[in-house]
Amino acid sequence: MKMDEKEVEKYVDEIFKTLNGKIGKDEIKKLFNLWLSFHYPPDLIKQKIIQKYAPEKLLKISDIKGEIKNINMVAKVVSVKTNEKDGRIITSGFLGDETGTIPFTTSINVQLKKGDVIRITNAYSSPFNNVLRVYIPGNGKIESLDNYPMERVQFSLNSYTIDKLQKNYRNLDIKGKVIFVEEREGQAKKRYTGILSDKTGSVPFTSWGKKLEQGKSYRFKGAYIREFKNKIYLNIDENVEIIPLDEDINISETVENLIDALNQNLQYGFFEGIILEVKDDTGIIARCPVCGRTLKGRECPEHGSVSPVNDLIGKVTFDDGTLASTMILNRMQMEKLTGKTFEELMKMVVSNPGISVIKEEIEKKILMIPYRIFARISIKDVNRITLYPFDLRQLDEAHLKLMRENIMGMIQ
Amino acid sequence: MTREPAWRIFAQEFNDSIVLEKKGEEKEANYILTRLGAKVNRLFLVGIMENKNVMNENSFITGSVNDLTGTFHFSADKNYSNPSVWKFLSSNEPPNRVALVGKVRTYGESKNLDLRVETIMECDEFLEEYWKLSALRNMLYRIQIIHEIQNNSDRKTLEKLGYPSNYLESITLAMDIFKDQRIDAYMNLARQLMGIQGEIENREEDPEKNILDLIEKLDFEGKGARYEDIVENASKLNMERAAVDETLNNLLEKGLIYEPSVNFFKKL
Repeated sequence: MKMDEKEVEKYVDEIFKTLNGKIGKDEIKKLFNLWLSFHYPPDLIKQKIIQKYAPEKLLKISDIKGEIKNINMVAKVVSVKTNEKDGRIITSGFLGDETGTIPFTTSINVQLKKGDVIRITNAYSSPFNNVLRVYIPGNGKIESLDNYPMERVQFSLNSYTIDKLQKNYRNLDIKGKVIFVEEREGQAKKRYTGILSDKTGSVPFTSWGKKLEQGKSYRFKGAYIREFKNKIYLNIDENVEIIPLDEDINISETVENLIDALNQNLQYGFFEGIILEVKDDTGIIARCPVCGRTLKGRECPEHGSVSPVNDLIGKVTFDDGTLASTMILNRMQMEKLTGKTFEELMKMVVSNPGISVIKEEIEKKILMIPYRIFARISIKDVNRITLYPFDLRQLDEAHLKLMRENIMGMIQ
Repeated sequence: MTREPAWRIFAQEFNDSIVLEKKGEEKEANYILTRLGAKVNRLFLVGIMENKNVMNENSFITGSVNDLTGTFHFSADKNYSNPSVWKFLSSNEPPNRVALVGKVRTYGESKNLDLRVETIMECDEFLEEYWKLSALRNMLYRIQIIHEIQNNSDRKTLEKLGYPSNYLESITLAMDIFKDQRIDAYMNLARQLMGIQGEIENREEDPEKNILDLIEKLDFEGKGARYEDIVENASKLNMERAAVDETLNNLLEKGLIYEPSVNFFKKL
């Protein structure tokens, strides 16, 4: 590695200061250049020299950048678990200080719990599964420290694309575009749920108290993954730093086949197909005013006798050639598709008793029309696939152009 | 019961299929299996309705729709069809561009194949183009799976790669039954539909004209064209030996060709 003389001098000065005159500057410079000639990064060289001449020096987690011996440090136990392997107790977890976090493993039999501040002596670092890890071997030492003035642990953020997110992922640094968001009344505070997308995929999110705008791109620092009913979502609580971005993040509009959605148990996706049928139960429905449940009469199974409120619903068969599914259209979508307001449609129902006017209205507009939808997909089994679209767009020439390009790629 | 998806399949492939035997279960659906492994009960297609025949004292309508690759036959019964289907078929005269959804049905002793219409309506060129592209995409996807299976990938590996199990199942069955998938012919069809010149130039729909042209082209020193040469060249036009035999018989009957010596054919 080529380094400019001034840079080298800077490192040598730093090392000299840290070692407090234990060895001379020329000596340091000679060692530094020797390591450099073996293509070691300067920060690691600095640590290696300091470790050799001042092993008692306490390291910060951010100093551990490569394989280092004789590590002495004070850190907080962020998480810990024990495993028994071949009759030996192996303790592992995460350590943290004000500069970051790092995983650790030790064969020393110690009782550690989350929040303990410990002094580690004679440890070493080594990569495991491509992640640097601190090992405290049998000849090392772990002591618990009481009342040690520990600063707040700086969790190092993990940057992932959305497709890589998995359950238990924490301290995330995630960028994405909010492609759908709605407000939900929570018990104590408002929450906003929606979908965040980037060019690799989509993930549902819940934001506590902080409103996010649909169509805008954000960066979230410190978000984490929660699991609900076997599906993951991104949790954005008050401690998450939300940074609105000026750039418009490109999102993946890869169209999925419904059959693949079924096989892969997808939650969300873009689908392309035609509407083959409008079902008979399309039209005005009664809902419980409290819970919104669809009612058959005036009795809500949960809230007893109620005065139902009217709502509009559409149930259609959406078919992409690989599977048929039921697509549910809400009131707003029905109004938009029919080009008529709820009140206008209600009037039509009243003045045409016994005739499914709403079904006829919507049939005129959407039957045999190809749509590209972005929808939440609920799969009970192959016969009960339900789509809840957030976005419905009639296919246009631009879509056909994409399809053509795709096909050209397959036949040439 | 599972709602069957509406496959988008070209007429050429649809007519290159077998009817799957029923297992004898109650309310069992009809399925056809195409050479490229589509197991189809319901079909969505767009094409030009070329003719219709009103039969049985105005209570039954049959007709055909052409999609540029071949012809689909359909039927509708006044008493069983959706009223809107009957209304459309009885009031519209061909030719017109239609979008049609129907279920496969066999009738008669020779198990003729047609589509019982569920939905039919007039449509625009945009839908026709969309249909063509989505039918192509699905056909090419199945050809891709056939290649994977031919390259000795086993079922489990392919399922892990994300190929749907029902596709793998029906394609494997089609490969067992048909032996030859005629992928070159279907790839040529794809290229032609995308406006890229395929290997076959100006393929004529009329088999008699095709064979007459071949007989002329393959004439051997004025003695006529050899039967095996005709069969070999006809296969490039996607005609099977049986079809060649039938066409040769027709041409002989019509007196358009004769057999100067055994297995040689010549134009009159």
